[in-house]
This record gives sequence, C-alpha cells and structure tokens, in this order.
Amino acid sequence: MTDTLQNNQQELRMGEFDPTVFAYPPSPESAGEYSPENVVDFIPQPPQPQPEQVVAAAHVPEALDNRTALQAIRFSGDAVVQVRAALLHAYEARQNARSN
Amino acid sequence: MGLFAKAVKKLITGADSSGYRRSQLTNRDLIRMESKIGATLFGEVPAGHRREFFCLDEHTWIWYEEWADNTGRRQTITTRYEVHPNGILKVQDGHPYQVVEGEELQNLAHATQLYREYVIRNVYHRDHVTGQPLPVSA
Repeated sequence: MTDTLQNNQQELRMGEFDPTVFAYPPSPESAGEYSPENVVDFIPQPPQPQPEQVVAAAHVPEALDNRTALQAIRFSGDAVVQVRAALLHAYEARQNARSN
Repeated sequence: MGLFAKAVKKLITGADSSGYRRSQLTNRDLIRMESKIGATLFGEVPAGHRREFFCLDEHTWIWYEEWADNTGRRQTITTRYEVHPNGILKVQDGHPYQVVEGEELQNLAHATQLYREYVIRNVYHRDHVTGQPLPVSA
C-alpha cells in the first residue's frame, strides 16, 4: 500500500487531474498504470452499473439526519441510506484528514 | 526505520511512512487519491478509457468516463449522483434528472460502501468501522 501512496504522490505532482472542474485533459500515462490488485484484492467486485439505465419510478425512504445515516450503514439494508452514509463518512474522513 | 521510530515520527510530525502529511494536501489532491481507488470499483476499465469515481462533497458522487471513439475524438460522460435524504438523483448532460433505483441503486450502494472502506483504510489509514488510526506497518 505504501507503494500505492507513493505512486499517488507522484501523480499529485503531475497535476493532470482536477476533479473540481471535471476538465480532464487526455492522459496517456494514466492508462493501465494502476493495478486494482493493489487495493481491491479480497472483496468481489460488483457488476458494472449502467449509466444509461432508465429509471421510471421514485423510491422515497424516510429522511435521516447525518448522524443516523452514519450509524445506519452498518445495519440497514436500505440502499439509499447506504449510499448516503458512505458519502458522508468518506467526506468526513477527508475533512478530518485536512484539519488534523 | 523501525516500528517505534516510525510511530514517534508520526506522532511528532504527523507524517506517515510515505513521508508527507495529509493536512498539507489540498482537497483536490485528496479527491484524486480517493478517485484512484474509486475507479477500480466497477470492474476493469476498458482499454483506452479513463475512469474517475469519487465523493465530490457531502451531497455528490461523481462518475467520469473518458475514451476515444472510432474517429479518435475524445468522448466523455460525467454522471453526478446527487444524494438527498429521500432519494438519489442521477444527472447527465442532455438527459433529464432520473431517480436511481433498482439494480443500478444496488450496484451504487455496493460500490460506495467499498469506496468508503478502501478510502478510509488506504488513503486515511483509519479503521473504517471504528474510525481509529490503523497500526503503523513495520
């Protein structure tokens, strides 16, 4: 994993990817440079979602506050809650890392 | 460097074994590191494609796909998953908002849970369940 982080550090210095504006110049060096085995090696990958999939009906679960959502990820089978909790938890981890 | 020396260095300087402090990184830098992991969660990236998947903020997942078509022209799709308390909206250029559900929602939920786990453990070096720092590896 240290190798992965060092690779990431090198990439940071290259500065070819700006996620905040979504304007990525073509980056030939990025193709195939990252081995998923470095990170995802013990949990089966999910099937690939289809971005063009058309969804017809709404699913509206009960609204949750952030704290409840963070706790619910471990217990709830509700996919919307899980997506929201994962988002909040990842975002919180990033903010904590920046403030520490 | 021995385990104890690494632990002391981290305690004093905040630097991990790779030699830098996460607090010195910008929000953009951290997103890029997260996206390197996120891009691996949806299976193999087709040859010639570039994929990014990351948490943009506390409301939004981003999935970006880039490739060259048969004529060599660069094509891109940016998909925003806007997460609301009562549901998730998918937003793509030129398409109306769609509520995400069914198989796509299940896949997104699975991917985002993996993202949370791998990013917290491998980028921020914390246990994804307890939030406690992971032990420094020898």
